[in-house]
Amino acid sequence: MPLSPIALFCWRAGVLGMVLFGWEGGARLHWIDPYLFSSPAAICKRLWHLTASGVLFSHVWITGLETLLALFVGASVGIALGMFLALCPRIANILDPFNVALNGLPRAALAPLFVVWFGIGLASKVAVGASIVLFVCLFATYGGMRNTDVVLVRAVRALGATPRQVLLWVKLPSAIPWISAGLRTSVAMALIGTIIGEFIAASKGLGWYIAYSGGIFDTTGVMAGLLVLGIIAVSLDAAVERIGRRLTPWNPGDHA
Amino acid sequence: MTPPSMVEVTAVRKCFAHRAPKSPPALDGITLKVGLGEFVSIVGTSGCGKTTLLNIIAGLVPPDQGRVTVGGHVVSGVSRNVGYVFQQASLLPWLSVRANVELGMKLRGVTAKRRAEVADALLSQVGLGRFADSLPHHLSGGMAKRAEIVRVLAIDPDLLLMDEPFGALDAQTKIHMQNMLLVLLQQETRKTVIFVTHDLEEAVTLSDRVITMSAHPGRIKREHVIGLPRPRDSRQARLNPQFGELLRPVWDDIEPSRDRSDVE
Repeated sequence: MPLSPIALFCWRAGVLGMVLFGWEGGARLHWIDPYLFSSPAAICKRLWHLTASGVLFSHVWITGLETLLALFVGASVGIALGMFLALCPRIANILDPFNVALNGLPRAALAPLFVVWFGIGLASKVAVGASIVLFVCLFATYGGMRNTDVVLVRAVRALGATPRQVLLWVKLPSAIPWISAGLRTSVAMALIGTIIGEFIAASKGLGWYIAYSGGIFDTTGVMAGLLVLGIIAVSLDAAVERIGRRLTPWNPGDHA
Repeated sequence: MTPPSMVEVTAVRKCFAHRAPKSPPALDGITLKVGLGEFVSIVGTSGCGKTTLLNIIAGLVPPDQGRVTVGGHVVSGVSRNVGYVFQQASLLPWLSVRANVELGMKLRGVTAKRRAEVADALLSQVGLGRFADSLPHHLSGGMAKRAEIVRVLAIDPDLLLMDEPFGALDAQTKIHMQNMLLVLLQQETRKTVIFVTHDLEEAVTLSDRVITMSAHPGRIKREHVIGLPRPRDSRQARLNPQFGELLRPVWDDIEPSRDRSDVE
């Protein structure tokens, strides 16, 4: 029998409570080494200090800005290229192996190259994130447009639509659920790209803070950074999912 | 004097050689005429090229040989006064039912106000008035099919092509839809209809003529005139004493009666 929402919430709160309690208790009693694991109390205290001093805000701001820019640049270029390739199957065919190769390469490995090209400021982090997002959106758009239901295309053609009208009125809207799914993945990827960029060469941002804390063995700092990062990731994902659902009120391929 | 033909198909041949090089043509030497206002059904087993023939008449696909004229004009691309209803669901899922019905009119430059008027009128006629603002995935199969038919009627085509439109519906809904179609077609100007189906009874119930086709290669076997009186409805047609006599030759064409010993 499924649990009621209240019961579910209580169980989840209970699990969280036990973990935090066990962690804090373990740290104080030295069952686990607080140097290696920190403790919930210490993390909260650190977060308080960071927030009060405004330091947290400036890091979050930088990382957030880089992520959103990476998302914006990567998605617009990726979607545009995906549309272009869907329109020119011959060019798409020629470029296909290059696409696959570039996509297969872990773009995080390009980070040092981007640092050389763009410096250690904002631009290099945006470049890493955007390079990942670009391919995700490109494949999503291309796939979505190529996978348009043949019957829909035929029906609209039979009503008298020109090929351009078929493209705008059928193929593009058909691709929206795909692009939407691609964007959800893209958000996570943009964040990863940004953080890795910050690990490699930066002077501020959440990724920088985590790497810097790690470097001086400040576990509390690392944990605090990770916690904030986790909250950002979850919030961004939820926001994109909400937007995605608004854009796709129909269920593709669904009929009563 | 023979009445003017709405559709003339002359010696049409179509091969899908790139798909199966050695197989016979999908359509071979198809010649038929459909008169103005006539309701003609095409029946035949799967693979006899019925859908291909409709696609060629609609102008979606060119024949390899032969030609088709619709309303006196040679078909070379999609004709503006032809409406095509498919078997599979073809409402655009991201548009409301009303927006779907307006689609053909929008492509012809009809004003928004006029489009909405026509769409709403047609939708109420088929009992979908309440669903005008719903999305297609809220409709049942039969309701969606009604919307698709009305979408095509909205552009007031002279020729209606229907490819097994009721094939995916259950028996009762089918009969209901057949009656609805008969009623819709009985209004004002009589439209010419070419209707493809597997259902022989449906063909006899609805049509003035039934054309049987054979497969591999796709050829016309025979034409059967259905002399049931008009206006018709499903019940009246099926209970008409002539019905069985009209159905028999069509059935024999499609499935020649086997030796009795096979069955008993």
